[in-house]
Amino acid sequence: MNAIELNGVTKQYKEFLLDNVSFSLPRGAILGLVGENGAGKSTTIKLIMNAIRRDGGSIRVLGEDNTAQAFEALKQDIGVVLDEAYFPEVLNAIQVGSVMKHTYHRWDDGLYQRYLKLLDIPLKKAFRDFSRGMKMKFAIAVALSHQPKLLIMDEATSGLDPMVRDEILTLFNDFTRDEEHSILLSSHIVSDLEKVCDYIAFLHKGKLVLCEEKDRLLEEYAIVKTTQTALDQMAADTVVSSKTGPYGTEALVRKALLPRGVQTEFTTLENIILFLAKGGERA
Amino acid sequence: MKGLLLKDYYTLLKQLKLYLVFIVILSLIPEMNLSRIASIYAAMLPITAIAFDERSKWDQLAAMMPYSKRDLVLSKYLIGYVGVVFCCLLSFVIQGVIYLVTKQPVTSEVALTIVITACAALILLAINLPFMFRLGVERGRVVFMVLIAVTVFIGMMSAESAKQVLETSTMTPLMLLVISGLSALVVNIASILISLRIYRNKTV
Repeated sequence: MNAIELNGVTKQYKEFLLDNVSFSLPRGAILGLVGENGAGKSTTIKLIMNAIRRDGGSIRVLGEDNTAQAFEALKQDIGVVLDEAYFPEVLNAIQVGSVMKHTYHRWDDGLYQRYLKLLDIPLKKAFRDFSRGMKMKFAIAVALSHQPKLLIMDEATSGLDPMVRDEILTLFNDFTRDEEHSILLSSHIVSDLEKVCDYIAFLHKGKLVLCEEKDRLLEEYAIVKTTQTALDQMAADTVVSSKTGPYGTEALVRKALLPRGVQTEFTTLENIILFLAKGGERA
Repeated sequence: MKGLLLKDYYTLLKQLKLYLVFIVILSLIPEMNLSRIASIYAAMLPITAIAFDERSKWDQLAAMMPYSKRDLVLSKYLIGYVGVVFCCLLSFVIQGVIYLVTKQPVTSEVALTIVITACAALILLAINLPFMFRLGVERGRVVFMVLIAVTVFIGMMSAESAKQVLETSTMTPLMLLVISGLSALVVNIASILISLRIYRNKTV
């Protein structure tokens, strides 16, 4: 069963179109939603949570249509962290805990205190005096303390130092040890997604370029450094995208179609995404 | 709803403490009965709460939480109602204290003024909130100020004829009380319906 299912979801704004987006997040998995700023990641998350109305398509979250009345109650099972949307800045961690206790039925005060301690969050300091990293860690502690089945994180690791990012990614890994738990993690920092995600969905200018298992992407694609002439001689569909610089030509290729003997470079998910984005532009 | 009210209470806690000091100081000014103005100030509390929400983009986060849009709207009205009722009761307590100290009795006129001021505060709140939900605090305040200025201007222009009407009026204090209460009720019901409609169509 899928934790999230999007089918042909469309949202039209004056200057932006989220165009026919379909992907699913299986239960127990982490899906990374990657894309440049303005690609439609936050819009997709708002649509998933039914915070904005979609113009077309369907969305199911934890088995329920998200426009159904029952979805309001289902939000008890979903923890959300948004980029730059927080609790009112004069509140402190103790006060937020009290508010959440009266918001979520399964709010676990003991668990909340443990997360605050683990993440080194001050109890009585007003939220406005938190650093960005602290704000994010705090928001994640809150999102985890009502025992959700699904976590949705919008740019939860952006702007954080590597130590904090690593701490947060470890928390996500711990959370998905329970196979009922799933995470949708949107970010433009591909290296973070590469560390924790099972699936990658790549949004580019409002369109879904791909949604694949991360390992399969790394198995399917590779980077080669060669000449344009050598690329031209390769079979059709081998080269997905290429770029030529002063030191030669680099190309993203499909490993399966690559002629024997051609050596591939060390390929990261970030390389693949960057080349696919270029390919998408060219198409 | 309880969570939302608690959040606003914590948000306004500092303001509320200052506010109480403000009421006490106003009450100490003899013959002025300024503490009644506190009801009007209390009607502005939801606007302060909305301003704090806007600054932290709380609406976006709240839309992801198990709060209904109805609760998000109604909670703001409720803070205003609690504030106005609290001030109304406090005004009576202050009048009682004044009576104990000065032996000056609480006349029905004073009691009527306190209740009518509270009703006026509730009407003010009801006019104010839909603008705040629609335009946000910054632009909403400007529109509200313009509305108030126009109302005061019209009031001043027609003051003489209004005075004549009141002088010749046979309206009893009870009738005045009922009319004020009903006006506040009707305007608030209409305001809540408008605010709900605005909030439901709002893009967070």
